[in-house]
Amino acid sequence: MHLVVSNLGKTYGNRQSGSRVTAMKSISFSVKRGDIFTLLGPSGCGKTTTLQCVAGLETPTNGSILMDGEVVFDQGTARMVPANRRKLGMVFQSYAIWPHMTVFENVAFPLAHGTRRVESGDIRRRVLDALERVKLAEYADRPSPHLSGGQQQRVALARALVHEPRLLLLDEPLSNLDAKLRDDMRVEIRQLVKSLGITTLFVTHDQVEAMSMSDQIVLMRAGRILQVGTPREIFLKPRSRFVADFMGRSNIISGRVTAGSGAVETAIGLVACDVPSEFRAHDPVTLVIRPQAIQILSERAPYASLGNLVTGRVSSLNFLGETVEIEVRCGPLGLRITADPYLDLSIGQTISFVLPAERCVVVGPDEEERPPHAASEPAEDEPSSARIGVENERVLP
Amino acid sequence: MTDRAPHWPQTVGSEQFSLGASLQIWTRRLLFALVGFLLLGPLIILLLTSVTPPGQLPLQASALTLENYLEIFTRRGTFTLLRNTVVYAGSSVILGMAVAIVIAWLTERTDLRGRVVVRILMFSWMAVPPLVFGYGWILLTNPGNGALNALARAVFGLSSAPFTPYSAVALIAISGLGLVPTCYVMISGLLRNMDPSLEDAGHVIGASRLTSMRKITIPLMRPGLLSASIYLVMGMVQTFDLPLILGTTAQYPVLSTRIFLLASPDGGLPNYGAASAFGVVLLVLALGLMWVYFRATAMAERFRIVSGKSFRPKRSKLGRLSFAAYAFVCIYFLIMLLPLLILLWTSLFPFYRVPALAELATANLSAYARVLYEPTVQRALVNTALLVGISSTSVMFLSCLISWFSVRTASASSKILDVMAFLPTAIPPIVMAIAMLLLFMRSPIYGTVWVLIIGHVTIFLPFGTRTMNGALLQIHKELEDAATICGAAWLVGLRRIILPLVWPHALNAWLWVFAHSARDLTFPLMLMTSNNVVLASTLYLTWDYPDQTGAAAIAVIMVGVLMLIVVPVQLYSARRAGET
Repeated sequence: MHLVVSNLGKTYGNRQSGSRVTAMKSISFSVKRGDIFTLLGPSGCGKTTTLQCVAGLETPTNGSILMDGEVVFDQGTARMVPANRRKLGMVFQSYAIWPHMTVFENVAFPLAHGTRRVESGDIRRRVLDALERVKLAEYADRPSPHLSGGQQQRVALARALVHEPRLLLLDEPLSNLDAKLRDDMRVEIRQLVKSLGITTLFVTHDQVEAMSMSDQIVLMRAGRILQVGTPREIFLKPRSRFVADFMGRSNIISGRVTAGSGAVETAIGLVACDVPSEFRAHDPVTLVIRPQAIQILSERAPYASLGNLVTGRVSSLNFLGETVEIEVRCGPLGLRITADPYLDLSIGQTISFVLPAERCVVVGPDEEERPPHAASEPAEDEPSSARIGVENERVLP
Repeated sequence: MTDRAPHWPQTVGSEQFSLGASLQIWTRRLLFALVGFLLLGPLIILLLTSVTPPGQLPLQASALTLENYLEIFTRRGTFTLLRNTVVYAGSSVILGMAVAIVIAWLTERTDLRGRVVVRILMFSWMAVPPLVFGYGWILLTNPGNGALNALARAVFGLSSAPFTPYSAVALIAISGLGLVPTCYVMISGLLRNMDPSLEDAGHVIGASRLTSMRKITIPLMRPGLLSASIYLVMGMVQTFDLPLILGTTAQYPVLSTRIFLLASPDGGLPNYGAASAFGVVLLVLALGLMWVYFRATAMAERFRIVSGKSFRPKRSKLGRLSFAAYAFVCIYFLIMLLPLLILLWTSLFPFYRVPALAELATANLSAYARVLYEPTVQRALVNTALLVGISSTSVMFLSCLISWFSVRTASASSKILDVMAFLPTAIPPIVMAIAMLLLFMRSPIYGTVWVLIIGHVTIFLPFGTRTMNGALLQIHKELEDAATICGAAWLVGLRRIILPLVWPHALNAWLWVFAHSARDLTFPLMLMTSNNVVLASTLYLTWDYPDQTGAAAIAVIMVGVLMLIVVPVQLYSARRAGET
């Protein structure tokens, strides 16, 4: 393991006065060499504090951090390697390009003034190499304020990589770019980092960015880790309603585990699914079903062999081109389905569809949101809405 | 981001916890000790002296007593002293503000030609010592052979002199006119930060220019003007040089001159007890004004109209009024120039004579040669260079470090350090000077230029830290973090990243301290020995000797050297400001 963070915690405020704020608590994860590892979560979840602790810009209150087997922070033995001796590279949210220097001087700074200085002949070669890598070689002598946002970002990247750091830290590097540029940079950064084989710790609040760039994702909330896994695991097998919701739209259906297990009793009937062993019969649970998971049946398909068959009436259609979003009313519930745009449907039509058992994820109630047994039909809150039970209107940034 | 609270690594457990932080921690401890000593040392000795029985020295006294306070409050004239102080400070500030408002409005809001020159002149003029103005005005208006009196007698055939510098009115007028450049700098800043569209809004609904100025501009500026005025009153209550050279002859004593005369009387023993007690009274008065100032600035914050967007003020066309505007500005500059011209004239002759063309034939530069050969003047030149150079550079060096701690670190000790560095604002220089005198009287540095440097560093530190706090707040923390991550040690980051970015602010503040250190008479006179004379005190002594020609020559040299340094730096920063 290249980076090992164990039991990291950070508390702000005065020990005496008692007014303390916990920014993060018991954060543990480890990163494999060469991986792009992402800390994902809404603002205030502690992801930036974690990154700053790894960088050495913040001192954690407890825990330890190992890089390449070297202890850079350990509260127990009171050891702290200062940020400038950790051999890191970092791209900041604001890029932090020094306005009083040229592009060349910015990139040369780690080599000229860092802890491991390099001979001046080497500096020139390595800076130009780094600029070449981010396609800015011809801008070397330009004053850095005369650059566009995207170019500044590339300079920041070149500066973070020029001294061959053992770990690259990226703090929301894409949040200040416009949408088109952001998509390009996402691919470019991943390719660059992968080609250099450099281990990267990436912080973002955008789940699309996280999924497209990462090998591993840690999803955080309120200073704690909710789930660790590959993008695929986190998206398809969320372990809590919050994770499901944060990663993308979902159909959220409340229900209770049936006596025989292997199914959940819901307002649309019995849904067969893989119920984790932690739940017992009659436990209130939530079913999470991605709109993409639902399979609409054509009229001629053989019905009988399939489980979890549901019938409903189309209440709205939203044709997006690449997909079509369908809202279906099934008794007291509304479900959202993302389907093939070539399907010929109309509002009011009755359709049948299947909730494949292996795609239905059972999660317990979120700890902080509601006490156990208080789970209720989401439908009761807004009976007039056509989209009953679909709580997935996350506003994407 | 809400999870990016500013915080600094603190030592948890032991000292060797962080190698990089320990250098910072030691630096902060050093600063703490230094500022604490500069602030508390003089204050404690001042308080002690004020409760020491007359005739005894502090720390050797047998008992503590309130005798000194009883004496100054029962003595006749103490009430007059307080009243004089308040009237003098208040009236001169009103006069200075009135003139400055007009000129600031002309340069910031109208199409007056040459407004950049006016700005640079105003900024540079702040460097001219009030002492020089005072002597210039004495030469111009003294009842015997003052140039203006001679002119008035010749033109109007008057038998008696119409002007005199030795009156309360003259003292207030001269102080007020000398205050105009400082007022101008403050008011033009206020006008610059006010969005002119608010005035336009008044214009659109049909108000005349005068009405919109009366109903909109003035009320909007009132809180800012009020806090600027209080700040200046604070300064004038503490001012010392003009009341000394004009007010004592005019029998118009104020608190600062009374303290000086008690501590260093022309004859007899110094009464440090009474001087300290007056010092404490002046300190209380200044603290009260400071409280009012903070109340007023809090109110000004509420009214503050800074939208963040940059606006280019629309300039009113002066039209037919432009002649009157020019006349006003030119008359003001003529009035400011007259004292300098008469000093230049006086320095050309062995004795002062009433200016006339016929005299020019005998003009010569022998006075300059004479004063420059004088060992005292030579020593004063060296001392002045040491004093202003070391004071201004040390103030800026300390200010940069203190401000860095107070802006970049969130710990309580940094905040305390910041407050300690600001507190000398409330301590009048004359009080600080007498405290320094008492503190260092029996130490080897007394009588050297170093005691003056310590005094100036202390009283100019608040200005330096205020300026640098503002400058550092504008610099994104990530710029510095980036240097740290790149492997730069703390001091390397400060030198390579922070210093170049705050350089223009630091240079301006350095210049301000430089000029104010050169023009100050309080410390050089209070702590004067034959060794540590500087130009300001030499000027005072030479005039007092009396050697008007020599004093005039020294004044001209002083103003010339100051301008040689101040004007180029002003031009440099004006050009830099124009670039960005």
